Amino acid sequence: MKLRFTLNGRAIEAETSTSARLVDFLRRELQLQSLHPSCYEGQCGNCAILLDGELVYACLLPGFAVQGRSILTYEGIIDTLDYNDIISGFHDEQAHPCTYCLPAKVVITQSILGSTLEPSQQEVLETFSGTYCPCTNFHNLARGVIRAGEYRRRRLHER
Amino acid sequence: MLNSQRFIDEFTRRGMLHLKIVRADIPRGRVSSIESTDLPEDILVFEANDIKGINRVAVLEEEMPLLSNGNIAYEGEPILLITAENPSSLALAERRLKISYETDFSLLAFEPASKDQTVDTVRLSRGNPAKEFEETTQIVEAEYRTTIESHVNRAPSGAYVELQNDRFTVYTPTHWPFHVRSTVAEVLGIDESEIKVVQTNPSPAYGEKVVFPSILAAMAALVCQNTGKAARLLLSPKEAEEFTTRKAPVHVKSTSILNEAGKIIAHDTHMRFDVGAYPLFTKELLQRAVITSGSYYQVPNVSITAEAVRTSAPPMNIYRGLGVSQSLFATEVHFSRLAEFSHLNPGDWKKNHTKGKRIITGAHIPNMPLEKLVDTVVEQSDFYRKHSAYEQIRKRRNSVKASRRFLRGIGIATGFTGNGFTDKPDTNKNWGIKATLDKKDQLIIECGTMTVPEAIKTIWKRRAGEILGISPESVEISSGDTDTLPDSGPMMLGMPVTVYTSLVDRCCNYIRKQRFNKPLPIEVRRSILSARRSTWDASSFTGIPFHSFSWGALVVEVQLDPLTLVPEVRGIWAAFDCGLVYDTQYAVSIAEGGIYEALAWATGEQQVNPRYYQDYVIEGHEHPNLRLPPVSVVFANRAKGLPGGINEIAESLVPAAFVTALSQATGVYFDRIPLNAETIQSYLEEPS
Repeated sequence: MKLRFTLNGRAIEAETSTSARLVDFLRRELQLQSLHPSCYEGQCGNCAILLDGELVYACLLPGFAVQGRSILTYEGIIDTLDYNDIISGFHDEQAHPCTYCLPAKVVITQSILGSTLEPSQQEVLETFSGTYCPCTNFHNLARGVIRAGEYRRRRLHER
Repeated sequence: MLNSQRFIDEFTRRGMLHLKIVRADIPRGRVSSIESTDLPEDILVFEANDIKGINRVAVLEEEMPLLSNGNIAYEGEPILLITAENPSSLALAERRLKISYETDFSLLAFEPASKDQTVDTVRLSRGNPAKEFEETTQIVEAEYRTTIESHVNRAPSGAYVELQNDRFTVYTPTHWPFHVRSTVAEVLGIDESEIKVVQTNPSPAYGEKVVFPSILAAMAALVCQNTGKAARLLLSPKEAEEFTTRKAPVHVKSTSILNEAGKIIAHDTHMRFDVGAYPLFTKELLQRAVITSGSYYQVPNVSITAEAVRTSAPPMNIYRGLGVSQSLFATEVHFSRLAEFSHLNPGDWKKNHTKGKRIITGAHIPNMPLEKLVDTVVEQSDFYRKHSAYEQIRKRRNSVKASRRFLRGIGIATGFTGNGFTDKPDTNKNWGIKATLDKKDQLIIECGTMTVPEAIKTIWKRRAGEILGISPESVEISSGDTDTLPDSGPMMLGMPVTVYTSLVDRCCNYIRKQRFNKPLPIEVRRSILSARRSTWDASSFTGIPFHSFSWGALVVEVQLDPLTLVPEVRGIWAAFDCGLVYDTQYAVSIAEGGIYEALAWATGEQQVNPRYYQDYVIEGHEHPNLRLPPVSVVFANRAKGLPGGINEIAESLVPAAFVTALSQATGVYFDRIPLNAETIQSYLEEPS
């Protein structure tokens, strides 16, 4: 079936089969290599994307779920100042996600900071509860996200 | 992007062949016939007979077939390779292949296992334990068990092979590229010089990136050799989890005698590991298990035996830690019981056993830090008061179920883990690194045997930046390939931090001295040979077995809801001596990560059905991440000594302390992990 949607701010037209998972469609047809599905069960969280601003796991959705909607992935964040805020926050708090899960952690952080720039540790941990990777200490990660919120507040305030 | 940062599923080329492994669907027997009619036209099928070299993957003295030679030793054993340009043809082809078997119903079980299943045995003996056991009537006997540990979140496993200038170039996420090269050469029947191996990003990994990339690379290379086309084999997440490697289960029988002062007079332990159908690295696994089991307890009469048994399960021995966490679990739970029978506080009992300053191999450790580490954790956790209070409460209580309050307990575990291999495979190899400062003041660090975890890269970049006065951003870390770098053996067992960080320092210091005397670029190679090699005798189990040690003491406090029997950790206090710590904050982070991982293993949180996680969301329960217990980590002597790994010691001490604490809380002797509400209930139902 033919799909029309917005990917990282660009209008996209693409074909997918009705049985394809969204994560496979995005990786194979659109070469979004930041998505790393390692479980296909919504357990690892490594295929996190924002669908119309809402955090979802692309392995749990069919490809056609994007029809007429807007997707934001790691590739759409990496060249923005938002990315700098997030990475600076992670760096300051010794949160060093591995290259495998970093894209998902950036997307999830973007989702959290999209709803509040002053998240509590509980809010951060709740949002990250759908992810699992042994590389990252969750306490440091939570502090990193909170620090990233501070960077973004400061940047937006300065503007 | 550097190859070392790309994952194997990102390597693709138009016209390349996709591979799929056709696996046995019986656990034991023989292939009687294979029918391959009506296959799609673009499908090619390869079997063991197509191998021009030798059909095997060898590690030291052990080996397994690349493709089944007709015998099936476990369900999932590779029999055929099917390949096509269009990956969607592969599933159809697999359905149309008909493999018939003569099933052998005499499966090789772990419990009970026959003597014929024993692959290897390692034994350490001191004094005369048999005589002591004969002459006493009071013996403490117990059995301990751990189950398989596995993880779903792994970087993809696979290999991509293509011909470049009549040479095979292999891309694979390996921790041992030179083993990939030798395996591919042997399978293809060609010289190693015709092969170049390039590492791709292997992390996160749990041990499956040590030998299994060699297997997958040889399979892809076999297809490339026969077709002349580029070939890629990728394992699905399910295949990787089930058929690469998992932590081997263990069954331990321990018997001990105590004197009136609570000292152990004689101790006998027999550990039996299930290493699956094809054992690899068995000697290393068994030796490490024996050394960590013997630990630092100065027992005059001791016999420790570690045995590996072959079963009909998929191969599962090359897992992180190589037998150490299983061994330490059994040892520390058992010795905590001995402390209880001695009517001594476990903290004091352990301290009493640290006085000898020697480990089981006789190696003298002049600055053995355990007494200090125990002091630290018992003070921080208020161990003495809590232990006494919980003992009194438990003794006054009639039964667990009748209690109206949370049941509380506290447990302690101590011990050490070793960094580097005890013996082979790195006996004759130097650990090497190469660094180049180019004309743009960019430093390129190349390491022969690994891709480096992100956090360690950050440390290296910062240290290199400080030494050379350049920005950390201008430091690049690449893994190189087998054409350019020395063979340093496999990269595991804490090697990145213990060895390579000091080599980075040495390279940078050399470049700093030469920088204004020589024109750029300046290239330097540095390597070291472990000092312990001259003192360690594996045949008699004497001397210093490891490159360096990591020591630890750890306390876990738990509470148990008497109604739901769900154990909850109230706090963890840990003190480690891992030698020189380059970055304390990062080290604490690594230790906490290891502790949480171990807690998940001990409570079985990662072995439940994946639905578990969804249920938490649906029913509004807290996710495990939200219940992270408070953890306090302290590093002693962090400014000196050989640096040691942190994750493994943190991970190895938690299960024993957790189980001991639960035993105190309930008054039931738990002797296995994982322990969750269901298993606790089954213990409580057993007649006492």
